[in-house]
Amino acid sequence: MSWIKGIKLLLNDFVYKAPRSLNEALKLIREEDAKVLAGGHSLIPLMKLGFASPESLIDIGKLEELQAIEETNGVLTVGSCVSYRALFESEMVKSYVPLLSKVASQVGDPQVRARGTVGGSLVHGDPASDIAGAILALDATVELVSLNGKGDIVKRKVPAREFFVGFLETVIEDDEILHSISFKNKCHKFSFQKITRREQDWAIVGVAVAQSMHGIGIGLVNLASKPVYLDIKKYEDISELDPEGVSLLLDSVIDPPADIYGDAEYRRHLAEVLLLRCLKEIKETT
Amino acid sequence: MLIAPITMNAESYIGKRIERIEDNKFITTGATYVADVKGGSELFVEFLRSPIAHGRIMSLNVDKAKASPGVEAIYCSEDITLVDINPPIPLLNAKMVRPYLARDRVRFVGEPIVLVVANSARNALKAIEEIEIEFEDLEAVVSLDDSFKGEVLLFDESESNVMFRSDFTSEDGDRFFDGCDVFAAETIVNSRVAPCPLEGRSAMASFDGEKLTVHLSTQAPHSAKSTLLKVLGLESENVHVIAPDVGGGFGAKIGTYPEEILVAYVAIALVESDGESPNTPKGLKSVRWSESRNESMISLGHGRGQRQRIEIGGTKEGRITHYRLSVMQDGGAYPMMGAFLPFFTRRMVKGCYDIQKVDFMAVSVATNTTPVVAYRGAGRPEATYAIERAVELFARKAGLDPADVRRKNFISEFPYDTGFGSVYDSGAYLTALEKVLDYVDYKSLRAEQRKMRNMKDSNKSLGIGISSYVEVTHGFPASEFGSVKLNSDGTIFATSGTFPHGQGHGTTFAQIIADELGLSLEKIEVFFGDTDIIPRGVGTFGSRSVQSGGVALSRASKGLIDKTLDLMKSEFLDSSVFFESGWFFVDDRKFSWEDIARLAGSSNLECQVDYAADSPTFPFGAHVCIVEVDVETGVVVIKRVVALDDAGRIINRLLADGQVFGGLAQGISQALYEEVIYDENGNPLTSTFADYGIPSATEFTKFERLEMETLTTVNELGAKGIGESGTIGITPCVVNAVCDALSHLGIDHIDMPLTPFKVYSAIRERSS
Ligand SMILES: Cc1cc2nc3c(=O)[nH]c(=O)nc-3n(C[C@H](O)[C@H](O)[C@H](O)COP(=O)(O)OP(=O)(O)OC[C@H]3O[C@@H](n4cnc5c(N)ncnc54)[C@H](O)[C@@H]3O)c2cc1C
Repeated sequence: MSWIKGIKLLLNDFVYKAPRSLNEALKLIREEDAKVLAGGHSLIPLMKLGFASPESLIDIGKLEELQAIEETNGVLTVGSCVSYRALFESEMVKSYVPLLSKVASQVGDPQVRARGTVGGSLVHGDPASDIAGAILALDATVELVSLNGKGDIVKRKVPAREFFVGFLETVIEDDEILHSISFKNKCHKFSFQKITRREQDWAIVGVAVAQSMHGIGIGLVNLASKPVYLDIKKYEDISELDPEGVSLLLDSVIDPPADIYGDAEYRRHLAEVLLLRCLKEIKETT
Repeated sequence: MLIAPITMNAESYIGKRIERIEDNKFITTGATYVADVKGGSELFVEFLRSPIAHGRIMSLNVDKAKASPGVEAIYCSEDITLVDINPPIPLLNAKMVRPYLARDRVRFVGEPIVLVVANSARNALKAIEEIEIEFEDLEAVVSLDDSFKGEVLLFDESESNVMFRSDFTSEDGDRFFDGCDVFAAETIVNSRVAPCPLEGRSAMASFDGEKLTVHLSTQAPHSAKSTLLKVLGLESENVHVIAPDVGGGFGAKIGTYPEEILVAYVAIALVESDGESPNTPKGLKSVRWSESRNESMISLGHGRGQRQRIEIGGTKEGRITHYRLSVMQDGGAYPMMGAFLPFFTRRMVKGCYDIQKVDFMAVSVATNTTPVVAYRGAGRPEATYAIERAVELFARKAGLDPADVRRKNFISEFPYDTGFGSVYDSGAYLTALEKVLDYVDYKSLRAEQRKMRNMKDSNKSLGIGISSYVEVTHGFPASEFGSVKLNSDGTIFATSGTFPHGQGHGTTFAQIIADELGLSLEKIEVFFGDTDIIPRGVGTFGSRSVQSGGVALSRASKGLIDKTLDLMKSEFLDSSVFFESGWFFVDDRKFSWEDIARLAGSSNLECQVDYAADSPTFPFGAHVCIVEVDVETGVVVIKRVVALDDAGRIINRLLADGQVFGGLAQGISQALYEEVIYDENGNPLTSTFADYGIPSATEFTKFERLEMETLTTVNELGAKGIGESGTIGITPCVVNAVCDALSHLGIDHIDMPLTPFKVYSAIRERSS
């Protein structure tokens, strides 16, 4: 009988391990019922509710290699264990993809931003993840690592737009760790709009738009069972987009959830309003 | 009795802005809450709580749980030998009796069914997972209408679900409003909210074979003591209640809950059952329980929860002549204070207005939800919400400015007998309103609003909300205890039967005593919350503390001076002896309190006072709130909050600000964010802070407070209460503001909380 869970904190027993290298971490996660722990802000609540009860937690939050923010050959790479706070405090991020800084500054509350990580949010795959909206809009690439048969680290690159599969489901395999996210295009025209009930709440709906020399990207937050990318490639000039056009476009990709914060129709309406506001803001950015 | 007001001068502590003596402790780790109190060999209590709103317990087997590691004892309903709990007040339906642990039937999600004692909270919880229990679902009664219809009854013993009832006195029925030029009516909901004290309930009890000691997170340690001794059948000298630091209560910790009484019961039962157990070393056992946040959200009492029908009528010039309020109160599953809230609503039904013909009716009903209790304002915010929304609707219907309508209808002569059980002592309602309106430059605001409305393409709409309120504090004047004692080093040790749980009485009361005795503040310690040290007391609720406990201490200080003078007179016969500004003068010599302490030696210089006020007091005020509503998304942004709260003499301006600001935050929060929600099966949907709209500082703008002090003559301090006023005035003010912002769209009313979804839905409905 487990209804006590959720009323009182009763975590099942687990073993906590803090590996010192990525290699070691990758080995440990292959053990049965092991789970990667980063900031713990999604995983621990699931454990409290009894929805997850791993045998062991492999804490990768202390691995320096996953905390790096660096630029090489015009590509910005953000380690998976970078916290929201580190993200919005980074000058490099601000100069490269300021949308990411802005979004990071608006996730949850200060405690969440101090511990929650980019990688954790992406792997958790919540449809309401703000940062997922941003990396979709920015056309980022997600880099996954695992061990091959010889025990060497191998990498796999997945475009952000292919990373999310379904509700709390992504393409990552059990033996993989999200290593980093990379951005190949600088992007200074952007807009992020979200409606929340309280400042620290999840988005009822959020929209992230980024425009680079390669085109416009739109990421939609909490509008379907997963974070959604909206493709508007066929519109060369966004000023062509009128409310009706936006509405049609949205309907092709969204399937809004309904809860006490809004029904599907309200969310659909918000998506339209916010997207138009984003596009307007971008148009006005010089 | 004629009461001479206290005298004050520039040096007086009373009236100053003084930082709380308690602050250091509270903002560092210095405070000691019940869970911090160490208790020797410890046992932990946890409860199996009902996962369903309404059902029969078909089978219950705790055998496996008993064998679970660390388990000391398990109690089901039949193991508890206490008499079931009757409603707290005789006026409530006496057939609605509550067993300490659910017996055969569960009536709300969260109702305790089985109590487990183990050597750790974790082991107790693990044992709970081993309990086998089966329910037969009964239809849950969640809506007020379903409850009133009574097709499903919560209590087989009662032929209806009605807990309390108070009928209209007029027999005019439909003709009540005959002759009114203007008539407006609306059905509005005063949403159910959760009190959310930062510290949840917590109790720790130990029993030495004779004496029961209970540490409790409460607002009223002495009431807790009398409940415990009555329920457990103990002698007064054998019950010791200690309330250490308490992290908030907001009304929900006035009463003593079944869980808390059970902790004490178990402490006694375990000792009496002998104490030979592998888990418990012999000796004093302390048993404790602290609730989790989720547990608190479903089993600490809730507040508000009224549906109201407001009807208002008057002349086209704006004179309100008729008003009728019908209340349906959600009492929750068992009658507690909540069922009685309409009584307080009735008392304040007229608000600040001189209305000729007024009538009131109320029905409190039982639902399969968490019981409702008192919550900051308790019945009075509901009355204010009703009348202030009604006045707004009336003004709109009459095509008049809501400020003008208020101006035309204020009560202006005092004392004023409302005819509903209240005699307003003093007030200046018009002055208060004019002050806030001047301060915000009301006329310009209206002009700006018109300008914004004419702007094309703007998705923002400005709203201006006003509310004028009067409320009652120290509603049932009860005697309060205060004692002031001179220590051997010339410092003062005072005790009070009130109990601060965040307000800062330690500072305020010290100011009162220091002024009387002519001592500096540091010399005075005021002590609360221990029934062995403080013989009697009532507690802190209903904004009563300064005007009861504060006055008692003021009088006890005077008494100490008199006692000392008597002593001096007997010591220095034939001398002229008098007291002034902290000195005792004897002919040409003068003595400080320190000197007196030395002279008095071991003779006890203490004065105890039991003071009962003759009547309640009626603080009042006016609030203005300015909002901006995004009509495309429904988002409400608060731009300004201006509050004038007049509670008579203010003892400490800083702490009064704190009380008002906290009240404003809670009141705004009810208007915009907070609401306890159940689904149609009685499942709580808001039992975490993620779902429940508890606000953070980010949600609020700077509050602007205007001061005004219209003294009361009820007590010599001239003080009324200020603990709840913020919550009372601001809620209708915010709703008035939002509805004002949307008036041009034909929206008269939206029920709280005004979430983006609700506001947008109202707009959508109107425009389609
Ligand atoms: C109160 C609160 C408010 C919040 N508000 C918002 C909000 O407004 N907007 C928003 O977008 N989010 C919000 N969040 C969610 C928050 O953004 C995520 O919980 C956080 O970013 C997850 O990161 P983490 O490091 O804590 O992940 P963890 O909880 O440690 O892990 C999450 C999941 O990802 C896995 N994982 C983590 N890192 C890796 C990795 N590198 N490789 C492989 N697997 C990995 C874990 O095994 C686990 O399954 C909120 C959370 C809380 C608690």
